[in-house]
Amino acid sequence: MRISDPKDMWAEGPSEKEIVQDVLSRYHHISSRFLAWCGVLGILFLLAVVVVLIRLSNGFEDRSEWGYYSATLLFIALTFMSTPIISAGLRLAKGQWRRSMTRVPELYGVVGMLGLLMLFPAIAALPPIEGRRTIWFEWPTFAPMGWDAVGVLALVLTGLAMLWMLAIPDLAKVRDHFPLSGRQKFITWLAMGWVGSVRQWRIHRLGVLTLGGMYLLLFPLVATLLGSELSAGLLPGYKDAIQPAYLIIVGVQAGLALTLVTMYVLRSTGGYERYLGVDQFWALSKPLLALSLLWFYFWWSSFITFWYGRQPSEVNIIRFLMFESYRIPFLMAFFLNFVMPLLALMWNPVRKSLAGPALVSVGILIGTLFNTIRLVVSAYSVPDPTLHLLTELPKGQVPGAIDLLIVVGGISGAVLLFLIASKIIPPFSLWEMGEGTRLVRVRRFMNRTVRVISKQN
Amino acid sequence: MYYRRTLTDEQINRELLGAVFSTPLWWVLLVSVLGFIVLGAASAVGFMVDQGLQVTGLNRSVFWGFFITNFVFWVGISHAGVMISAILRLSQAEWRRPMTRAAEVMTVFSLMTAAMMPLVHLGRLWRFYWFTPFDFARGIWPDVRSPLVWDPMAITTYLTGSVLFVYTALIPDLAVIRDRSTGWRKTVYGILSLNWHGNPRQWKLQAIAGILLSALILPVFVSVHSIVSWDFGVSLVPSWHVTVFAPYFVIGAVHSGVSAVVTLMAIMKKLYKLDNYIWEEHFDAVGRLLVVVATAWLFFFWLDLVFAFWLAEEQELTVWRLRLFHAPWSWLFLTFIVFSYVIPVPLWLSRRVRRNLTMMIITTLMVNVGMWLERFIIVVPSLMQKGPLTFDYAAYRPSIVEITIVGGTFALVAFLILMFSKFFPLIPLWEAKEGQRLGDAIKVGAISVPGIVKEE
Repeated sequence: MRISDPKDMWAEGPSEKEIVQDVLSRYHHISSRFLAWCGVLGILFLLAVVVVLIRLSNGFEDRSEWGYYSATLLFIALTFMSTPIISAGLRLAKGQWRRSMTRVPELYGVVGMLGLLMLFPAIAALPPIEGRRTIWFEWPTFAPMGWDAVGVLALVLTGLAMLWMLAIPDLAKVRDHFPLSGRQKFITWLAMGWVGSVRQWRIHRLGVLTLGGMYLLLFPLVATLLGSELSAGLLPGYKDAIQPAYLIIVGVQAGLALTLVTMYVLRSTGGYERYLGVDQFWALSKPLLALSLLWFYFWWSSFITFWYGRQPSEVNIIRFLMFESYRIPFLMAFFLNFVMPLLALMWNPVRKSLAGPALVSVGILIGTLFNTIRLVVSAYSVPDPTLHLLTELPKGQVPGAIDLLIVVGGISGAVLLFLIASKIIPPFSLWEMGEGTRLVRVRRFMNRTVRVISKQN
Repeated sequence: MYYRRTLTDEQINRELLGAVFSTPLWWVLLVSVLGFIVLGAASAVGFMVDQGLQVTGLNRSVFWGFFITNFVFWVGISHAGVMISAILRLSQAEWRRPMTRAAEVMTVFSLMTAAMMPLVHLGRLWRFYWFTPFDFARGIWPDVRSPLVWDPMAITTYLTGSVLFVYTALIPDLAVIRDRSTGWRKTVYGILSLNWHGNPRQWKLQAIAGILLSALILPVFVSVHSIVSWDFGVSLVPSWHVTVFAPYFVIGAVHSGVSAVVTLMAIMKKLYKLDNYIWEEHFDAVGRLLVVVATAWLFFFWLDLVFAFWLAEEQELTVWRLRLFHAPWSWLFLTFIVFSYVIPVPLWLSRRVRRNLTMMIITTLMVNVGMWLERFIIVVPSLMQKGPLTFDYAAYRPSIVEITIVGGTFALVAFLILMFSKFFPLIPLWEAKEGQRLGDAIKVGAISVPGIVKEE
């Protein structure tokens, strides 16, 4: 048995029982290195919380102070909260290779809780909606805070429900595998008496489909809400209908990059190399390349319309967000989200490697952070969003130590939540992997060895 | 995953080449009727060339009407070929096999038809070369920064790529026809099949060419309709100057194009009795794809609508009020949205509907009626208002000449597809045979689950 070769994992690799044994033993064990990382991330997160509380005590008089905070929120919302889309999309496409990696993006669904909490100060810092452009138009009842919160809450609950629903069969395995402890009691409760009856599987399948579909519909809505509230609505004369769609592409690209980076870390430090092989990295790097091209396409569609329109409002927006005040973040994002992925991933040997897609993904994540800073910090620095035209371009706002602490702490909090969740819910979808072992066979076909792959309806 | 029908190579050859080697009466009748309509449309073009654009409903402010609407529509339909063929081929979707050729052929013929529309719209057809950088007597060079100049470049590139795409996939089938023909047909098919004998090297080259063309044509596919959208988007005409137009046009094109392929497949299945090749499962799969594509299209439509009100600019609002609240535009708008999404998509959610041939024909035809109206509603009302620098403004009513020409384009595409089917198989023989060889099954417990062979 060549279990070190991930290509053969389904056909000639470990049996379902061996996979369960192996994954659950690693999942159950909490190493000192894991605790150390949790500690570091926890401290950074706590520091950020303290800083935010101090800022809160100062109120929202100076909106520009909340620019980096809101940019962090948008970064977390786009990058971490988009990941369940990847899982839902791959499951709909029914790729065999997906089975060992879908849980990683699902687990990031828990970060939505942090996003929801961060939403309130960011929205509270916004000026009143009267007199400025807003997606709520003439409908101020509960807007923007109430409706934004409802939108984000719906997304977060759907993400959590999807994670839980998908994990129930695995939670039952955990319940049956380990002796009862405090953690086990919680997991037993989460497993909801799952025994794997035909009826339970039918409900499970329906639930997964429904929740996946809901998430696919809700994420664009939330991206539209956040994009218009935190950026477009504060920039006078900025009318960019493509922005919500652009943010969705930014989010899914960053979510995919985050998934790849996490897979690389799990593989190299978690001992999961037999499940996360070149097959998975290769398959995911193709949509990553496509998303990088789409990133450019959506940006270009917006840019060319403004460039040709040459309306004063459009020219000023281009100067503000791309060529003058926020030139450096824009160039960084342009290079890291489009140029570098294109130049690297267009080569099959790079795509078909472990380090190549992972390195490109790190770049994409940094680029996405710069991009959200460009879009949000700029918007929060405009003194009067009720104007019809950006007459004077505010200078680019360089982050101070506190801003940096907020950005780093926010992202640390998101990663910390993922780490904690990965010790409650196994980071691999055991039932899907077990299914995979049943649906693949190696056979002789003419003069060569082939894999026969089956897909359920 | 599909439950395979077991077919022999000989049976596949016989069934799929039946239309090439025999000429049924219905084919002759249909081609005659369509040819008659096409001749009528050609006569209308001749009349218009003789009389000038005054015989159309176009006027000083509404300078784009039925012809440009039809141009955008047919460019949209042409996106089906690449969507179905290239993307599904790259993603190795098994259900693509019976529909790739029909989709590719539809791309070529609809693109040719689309390319004719701006020429017809010129009125003075003989001056078409003015868009090229040709130093003619007036000394005026075309502005290379204008999307109106990019259009012909993009369409020509796409057409060339699409023809190559069809041709590359046709070569093995041409050799099969060559080997079963005699006389001049054998000679012609012999030349076209490029001495194909099906040796491993030839198959390898054909596969590489297919993959390369699939990958290379995708950016062209996106660029073509994006450039068409920028014909509108980069102008300052209210409701056209919208950043979302490019992806909105592309996804709309995919929506209408894939729907047109479904209509074509369903009609092919009926006319050519292709029950062994086009199954309910294929309609099921493409129906699911249509739900996703249509919903993505609706999202972009929604963005276009919402952001029209974003800056509350009076000129923009006037156009939208005209579209939404003033007859006949409001009725056309309602018909468009109901036909494009409200009726078909909820129906496609039902597996029974997706597997029902008649329902799929009806719903996909509705989509294309709706999508044609969408383009009409985008093009005309925006020009029917008095702008700050316009001295004239008027309403638009298409003339009988325009209606005849536009009607003729539908007959032309159908006519060309029927003519193609007389000389070439509409379902790739080699893909059908490959599907037979690669089909397998895996025993899971007591059930045998269909599977597909993939190389290690």
